[in-house]
Amino acid sequence: MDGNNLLYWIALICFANFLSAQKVETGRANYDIEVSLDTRKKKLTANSMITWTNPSDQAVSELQFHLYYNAFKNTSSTFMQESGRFSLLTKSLKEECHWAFSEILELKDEAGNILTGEFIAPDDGNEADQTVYRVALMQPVPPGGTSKYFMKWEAKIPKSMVRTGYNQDYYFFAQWFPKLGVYEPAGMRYERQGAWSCHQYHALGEYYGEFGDYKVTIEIPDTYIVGASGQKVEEVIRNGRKAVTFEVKNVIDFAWTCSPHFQTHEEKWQDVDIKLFYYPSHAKFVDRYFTAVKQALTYMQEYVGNYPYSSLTMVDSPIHGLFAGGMEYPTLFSSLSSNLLPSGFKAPETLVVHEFVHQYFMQMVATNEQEEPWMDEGITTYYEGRIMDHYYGEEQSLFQMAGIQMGNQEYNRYEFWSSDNPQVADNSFMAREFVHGGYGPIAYNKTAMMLRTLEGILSRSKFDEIMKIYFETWKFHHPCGLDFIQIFQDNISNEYLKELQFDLNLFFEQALYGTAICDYRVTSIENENQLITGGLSENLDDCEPFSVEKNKNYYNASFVLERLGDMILPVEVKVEFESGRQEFIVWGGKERSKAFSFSGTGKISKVQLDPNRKLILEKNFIDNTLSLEQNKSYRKYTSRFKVGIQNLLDFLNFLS
Amino acid sequence: MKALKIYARAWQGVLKYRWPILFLYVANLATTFIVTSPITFYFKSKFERSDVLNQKEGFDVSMVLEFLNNYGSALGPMLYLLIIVIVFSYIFSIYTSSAILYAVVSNNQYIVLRSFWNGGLNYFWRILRLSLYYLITIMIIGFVSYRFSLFMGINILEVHSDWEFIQKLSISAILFVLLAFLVLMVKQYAKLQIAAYNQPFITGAVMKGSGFVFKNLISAGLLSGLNIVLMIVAVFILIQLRNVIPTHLWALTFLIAQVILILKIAARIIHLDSCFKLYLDLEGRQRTD
Repeated sequence: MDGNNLLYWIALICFANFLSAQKVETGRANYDIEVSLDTRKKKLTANSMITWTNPSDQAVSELQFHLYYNAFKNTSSTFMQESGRFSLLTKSLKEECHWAFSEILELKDEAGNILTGEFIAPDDGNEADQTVYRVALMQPVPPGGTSKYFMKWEAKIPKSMVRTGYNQDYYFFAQWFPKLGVYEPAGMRYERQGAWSCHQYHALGEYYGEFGDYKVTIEIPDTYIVGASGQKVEEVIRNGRKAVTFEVKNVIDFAWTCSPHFQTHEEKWQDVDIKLFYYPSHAKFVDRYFTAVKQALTYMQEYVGNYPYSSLTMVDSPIHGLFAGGMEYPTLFSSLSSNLLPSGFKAPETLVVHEFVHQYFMQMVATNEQEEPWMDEGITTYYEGRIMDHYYGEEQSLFQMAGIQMGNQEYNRYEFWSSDNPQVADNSFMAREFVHGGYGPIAYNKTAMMLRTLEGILSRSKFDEIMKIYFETWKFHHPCGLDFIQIFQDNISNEYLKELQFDLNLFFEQALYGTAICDYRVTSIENENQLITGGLSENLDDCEPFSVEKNKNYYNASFVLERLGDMILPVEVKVEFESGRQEFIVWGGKERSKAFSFSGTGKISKVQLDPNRKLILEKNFIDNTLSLEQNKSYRKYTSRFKVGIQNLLDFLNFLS
Repeated sequence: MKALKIYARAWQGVLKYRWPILFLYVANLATTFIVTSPITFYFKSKFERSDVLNQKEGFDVSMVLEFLNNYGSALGPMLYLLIIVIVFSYIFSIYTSSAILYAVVSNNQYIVLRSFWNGGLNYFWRILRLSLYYLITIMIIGFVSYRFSLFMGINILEVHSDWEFIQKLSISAILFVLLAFLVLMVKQYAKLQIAAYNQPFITGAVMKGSGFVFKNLISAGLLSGLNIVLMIVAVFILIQLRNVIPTHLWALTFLIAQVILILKIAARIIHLDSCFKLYLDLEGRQRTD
C-alpha cells in the first residue's frame, strides 16, 4: 500500500459514520427459469422471466447482465488472460473444442419490445471480453418500480472449467444463467450516486448478487439425479425426460448439479432438510459430512445467528469433478473428499465447515467478493477455524496422524507468514488487484488472524456480541468494509477501549488496510542483588568511595520488551518470580523498547508476552517468552530429527 | 522352507558379526551427530529460553513451522553441510558394504575389525560400480513405472473414481516394487559372485547373479522377502511405539529407535550371510546333481 492509499483509508475510516450512516434497501431480482440440458451437445437452452425492482429513488434506464460462460469462450477473455495458472483444467480446451459461451437469443420487456444491448468491460476495457452485457431499456424502471423481462438464451457448457462445467457425466452449474448485476443506489456501500455493480469475470474473486426468489425447472435425461439450491417442489416425466422444479426465496444465486451416478443421503437438523449427493465410492464419507455440517449449523446458530432456510444441499464432487469442489452457493455447496487421504487429515470436514459458513458471509450478508474479498473469505476462514478447533481440538483440527499434528488456525498463521511476501498487499485490494500474489494469505488468512486478534483483545464474548449485531443488521443486505468497522465503533464504548488501552481505528488501519507487522519480544531479564553506592555528596570535598552491599533479600529485578514491527497493540505481560508470585501488567506497546523493573520483590524467573495468546497476528511466538530456567522441551523435536537422519544414513547402505 | 531354515541359522550366528555391527552403528551415530549438531544447536538456542513448546502437547508441526518461518533462512548453509555429508556417507556405505561382503564370504567364526577394513579396500571399486549400475537401473524402473501409470491413465480428470485412480497407481507401484526387488536380489548375488569367485568384471557377476536368481527364484525371493518383512515390521513397531509413548518421554523413543536401527544393521548383514549360505547350498547341490 502506498502512502496515498493509506491516507485514503485512514480518511475513510474516520468518516465512516458519514459514509455509511444508514442501511440502504436492496433491490430484488426474481428469476423464473425453465432450462433443458442436452447431454449430447453439452448445451443448455432456457427461458427466463426476470422480475427486477429498482431500489433507488431515480429511474434506471439500463440493465447489466453477467454472462459468465463467455469467460470460457476464447483465450482473449479477461478470465483466460488472467488465469494462465489453470493449465491443468484448460489443457483440454486447447486440444479439443470444449470452449463455452452464453448467448441471449431474445430479450423482451413487458410491453413486448425487443431489447438489444452491447458487451462492455467496466473493469479493464478489454473489448474481447463478453462477460458483461448492457441492455438499454425502452421504458426506464421508475424509482421503486418493478419490471418484468422475458429472455430466451442458450449456453454451451465448459469442460472441467474452474467452479463450473462438466466432465464425463458429472455436471455442476454455477453462474450458468444470464444474471443481473447489483444496482447500488446512492448511499449503498461506496456509491455516491446510483450505479450498476457488474464486474467482468476474473480469475480471482467470485460473485456478488442481488437478492431474489428463484423458481427453476430443470429438464434432464430421466436417468440423471439432480440436486439444486432450495427445495424440490415437483418432479414429472415429460417426453421421456425428467423435469424437476426447485424453489428458493431470498437468495443471491442459484446453482445445481446432476449425474446418473449420484447417490443421496438425507438427514434433518432442526427444521433444515440436509441432503448429500455423492458417488458410490465415497459412501464412507457420508457420516463425516453430516457430522461436520451439523456441528457448523449448531455453532453458527449459537454464535452468529439462525440459518433461515429450510434446505441445505451438499455435493461431494467426484475426483474428475474436482474443478467444482469447494464452492459455495445459496443453500448448496460443493466439497471434496478422497480415498487417497488418510482419515487423520480433516480436509473434508474443513471444506464442509468453510463452505457452510459462506451461507452467512456472502450469501446472507451479501458483500461484494470481487471488491472486498476479505469480507467473505476472511470472515469465513475465521469461523472455519473456530468451529474446527472447537470440535476437533486446537492442536489437531487440521490433521493428526503418524504421531504429528496441527490445528486449523495454526495453519492460517503458517500460510500467511510463509507466503512470499506477507506485506505485498492489504485488504483494501480488490480480488483482481492481487496481481503479485497474496490473495489467499491476505484475504483469507490475515483477515482470520486479524479477527482472532480482535477477539482476543476485546474478549470473545464482546466480539461475539458485536458479530451477532453485524449479522442481524446486515443480513439480506450489501454491506461494505466500512459498515463492518462501524458496527464495532458503534458497539464498543470509549471507556471499554480506554480500559484496554486499545485504539480500534488504529487497529483497522494497521491490520486491515495496512501492511504493518506485529512483532514483540522479551529481550532480557536482569536480577541485580548488589546495592552500589558512592560518588560526591552535597559537600563536594567529600568523595564517598564505592560501596558494594549484597543483600540476599533485595533485588532490583527488571526486564526489557521490544517492538520489532510497526504494528502497535496493547500487550499483556505476565511476570513470574522465583517465589512463585506472578504479576500481570499491560503495556501499550507504542515504544520501540521499554524496561520494567520491580525492586525488592525477589528474582524474576520468567517473562511472558501475551500469555493468553490473544495477538494471533504476532509474527514470532518463540521470542514472546524469556525464561531463566533452561527448557528441555526442544529435545522431543531434535531427537526425532536425529532419528530421521540416522535412518536416512542407514538407507544409503541399502543403495550400495 | 530351505530359505527359512537358512535365514534362521544365519540369525543364530549373528554374534560373530558383533564388531562390524557395533562399528556400523557407532559410525552411523557419529555421522548423525556431526550432521545434525549445527541444526540442533541452532534450534536449541531459539527454544531453550522459551516455553512455547510447553504450551503444545505432542509433536506439533506448527512449532517447527514457526521456527522455519522466523529463523529458517539461516538453515541454508547447514542443509548444504547435510547434503555434503550424505554424499560422503554414500561413498562410505560402499566401503562398509564391501567390508561386510568380505566378512561374510570369509566364513570365519569371528569377524575381527582388521579383516573388515581389508575387505572394504578389496572390493570397494567393484561394489561402487555395482551400486551405480543398481541406482541407474532403479531410476529406469521408476521411469518405466511412471510411464506405465500414464499409459493406464492416471489423469484425475479421466478416471471415474478415486478408487480407480488408486488401483491404477497401485498397479504401477507394485510393478516398481517387484522389479526393484528383483534387481535388489540380483545385486545381492552379484556381490557374492564378485567375492566368492573374485570376478573382475561387474557384467559377468551380474549375469551369473541373475542366472542364479532366476533359476532359484522362489528360494531367493523368499529369503529376501523375509528380510524385507523383518525390516518393515521393525519400522512399523517404531512408528506405533512413537504414537503410544508420550512425547515428553523422548529419550525412551530415541532409545527404542537405536535398538531398531541396530536390528536393521544386523538384518542387512544376516541377509547377505544367508544369501551366501543359500547360494552355497543350492549351487553345491546342483553341482553334485
